[in-house]
Amino acid sequence: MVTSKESRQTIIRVDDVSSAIEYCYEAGWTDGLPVVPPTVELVDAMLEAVELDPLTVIGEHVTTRRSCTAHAAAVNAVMAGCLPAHFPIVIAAMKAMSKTGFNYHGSTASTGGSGHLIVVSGPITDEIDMNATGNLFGSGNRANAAIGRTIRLIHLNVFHMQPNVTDKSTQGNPGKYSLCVAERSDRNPWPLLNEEMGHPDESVVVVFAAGGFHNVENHFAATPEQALLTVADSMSCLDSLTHGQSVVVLSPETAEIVAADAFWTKSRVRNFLFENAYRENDALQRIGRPTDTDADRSKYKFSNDGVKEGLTERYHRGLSADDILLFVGGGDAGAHSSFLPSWSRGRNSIMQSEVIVPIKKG
Amino acid sequence: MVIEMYTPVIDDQRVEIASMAPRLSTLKNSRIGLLSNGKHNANVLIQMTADLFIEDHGGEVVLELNKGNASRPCPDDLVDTVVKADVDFMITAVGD
Repeated sequence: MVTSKESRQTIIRVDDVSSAIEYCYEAGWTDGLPVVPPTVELVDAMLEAVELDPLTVIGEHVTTRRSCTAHAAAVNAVMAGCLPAHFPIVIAAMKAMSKTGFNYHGSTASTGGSGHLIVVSGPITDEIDMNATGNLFGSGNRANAAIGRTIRLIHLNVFHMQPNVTDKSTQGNPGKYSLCVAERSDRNPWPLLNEEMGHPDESVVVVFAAGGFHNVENHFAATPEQALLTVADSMSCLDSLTHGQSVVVLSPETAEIVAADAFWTKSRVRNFLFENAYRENDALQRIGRPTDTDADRSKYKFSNDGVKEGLTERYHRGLSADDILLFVGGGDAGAHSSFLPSWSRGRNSIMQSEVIVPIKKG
Repeated sequence: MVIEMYTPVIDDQRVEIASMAPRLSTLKNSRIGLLSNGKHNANVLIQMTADLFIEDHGGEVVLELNKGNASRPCPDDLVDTVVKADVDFMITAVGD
């Protein structure tokens, strides 16, 4: 073994490809699936895609005090199956997840078990053939699968967030293998996320520590209100009702029903969802839940019969309509939308975004 | 054909481990500080633990702090408060 001073990572010599794959298994460097051996040539090609010194820190995992360099990210990107053209999204996602509000350590260690959702919006989605249509959440597209998987491999290998050692998730999350989607730009009646964020000519990534995926289905909905009330009902499900943020992905079919009336701008849709995604406090009380905050239970007053006093009547999902990330995705057919709640019990992680620096040309 | 490949881990990341606090020679009549991590019932567990100390060894609770959010790192100002606290020892715990 030799250690490359330039990369700070050891170079290993093995006899052939199958030995390399098995070596990675033995060393504990996989997510359970085989990885592409990160040969020196492939890693160098990955780094060529971005204008970064290999030792540039692109991600920080505060509590473990570990950082991720561009080189380490490139190694894990090769292992996950990325092409160099995918790598700028990995870099942007890592930068976004390292922002303080994301709470990187908590979301990778918690019993709650978040999947780290990566949403990509803008021209890069077509340039690298990402999937924004059918089977949006998997499987079948190399870019979607490999970009999401890279993030997970970085958690495992660079930040050492190992299942049942430092990642203490009770039941895990299918999104821990990979959870990366593109926003659909056609059959989308509203401004794209990159446009809403003020970058109409650039691509952006939004990262979100997501709880479990909810399929929202109502093929009988014929009006905007009927379609959106179905989404709001899913958002107010007691199993995930907190003041945390939400991701709502409307199918093209549902978006078409909603936007048939020009009144329904994206902003009005978000407002409607927030206003209708709530439960009466007695519903929470029946399952023993505190109502007006996720914080310290001791602040609640109890009357003699055990009913909490001094509370508002309704508990909404999120704190405002701004807590809902709304975009269009999925196949042409089907009134199947989705809602992904925030991980855990509230506002422990706030979604973050980052502009994607395009691949280096030439 | 021999393959040369990189390891995906960064070899020389040395994680600093904080040193242990000096051991106390006695628990008798201690000034006790409490730090809840913010999870449900953490404060209950900590208070009961403090009560047991006081019952067995005397002393009193002179400081009660709450981290507020169990999932987030402890804010720097709170760490500073704990470091400067005029207590003999702190009790902290996770609740739920």
